[in-house]
Amino acid sequence: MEKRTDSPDQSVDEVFQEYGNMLYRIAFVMMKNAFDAEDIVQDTLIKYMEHVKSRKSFETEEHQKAWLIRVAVNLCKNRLRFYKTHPKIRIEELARYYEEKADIRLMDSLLLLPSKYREVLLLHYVEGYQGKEIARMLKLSESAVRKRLERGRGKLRAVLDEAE
Amino acid sequence: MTEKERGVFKESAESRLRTAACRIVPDKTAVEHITEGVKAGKRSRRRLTPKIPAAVFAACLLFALLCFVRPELIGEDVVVYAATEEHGWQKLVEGERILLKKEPFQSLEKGEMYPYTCTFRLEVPENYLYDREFVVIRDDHVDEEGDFIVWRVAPDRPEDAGRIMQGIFRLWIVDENRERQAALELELTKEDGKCYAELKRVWESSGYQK
Repeated sequence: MEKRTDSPDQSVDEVFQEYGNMLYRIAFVMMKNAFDAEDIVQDTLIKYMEHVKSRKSFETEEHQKAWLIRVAVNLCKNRLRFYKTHPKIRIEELARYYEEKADIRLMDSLLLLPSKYREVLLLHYVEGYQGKEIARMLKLSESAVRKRLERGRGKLRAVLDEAE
Repeated sequence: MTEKERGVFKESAESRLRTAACRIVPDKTAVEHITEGVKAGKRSRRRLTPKIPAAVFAACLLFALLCFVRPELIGEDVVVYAATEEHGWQKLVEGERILLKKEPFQSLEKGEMYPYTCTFRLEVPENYLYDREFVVIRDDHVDEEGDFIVWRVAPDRPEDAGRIMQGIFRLWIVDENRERQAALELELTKEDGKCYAELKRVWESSGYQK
């Protein structure tokens, strides 16, 4: 296995170029708004730079990517806990990204789901991770991930039905 | 949408997620903001875990100041007024939720209909300006009209019945160089057909002079 040797001087721009869009996407879906997503990406990258500066390296590129996702998801969860937004759903600003109504409806429906389903659906269907990898990343059992995926899919379809 | 189309839509929903989600990318300003923030080692603007000793110290200091300093010696800060049913223009106090006056309104633009509006007025200290960001609630809209900020309240969708809907109107107080100095949030809530607002101060730079 190739060991990654990230230098403390690795430019922020390079890291952002490689992972910025993915982190922003995850943060946006979790937080449901652009300015919190920006903050989350910023904080994740600062943690990354600190991690690299403390001379802790990543075993592989996949390890590095998974580490970034885990930090971003945890930061989102902390912030959601802080906002206590549970009973207050529906904050959205999707129109800026989509022209097709079907796309808005789909993403709108995804954002309506509780965050525990949003995160697994996003990691599986968008980022392409398998149940085992998601379980490791989110510190869940594989069966819990499978269950969340199954229920998430069901809920997504139900919300789509309701939206029609 | 026909039954057939609906079926295809539902079947392909998961597979279409990837394409749709990948459209969510930060714009140029956001990229600059993030990378500059990281390079400068600045953490996000919102502190999530209040440091109790510091908060207690600040509260004591503020209390002491308020006891001994005459009100006219305290500088001007941003003031937000809201139109209310009971008290007319009411100054918003941080952390206090108030019931807003809903005034009937119909947009002139074809196809747009906002049955009500709620109005705010903003006073920004001298030498400062403001920028705004709004996270919408469904079909609602917030606009500036002269010195006023108008929240256009759209009708509730049937699927939202019984829900508490909430959006945030963020005001960035910027100096003459457009540098952000403070952030306030107007938390706008729709609940049981009523509209509420609550003012929150989320961030202040060390250089912000009130």
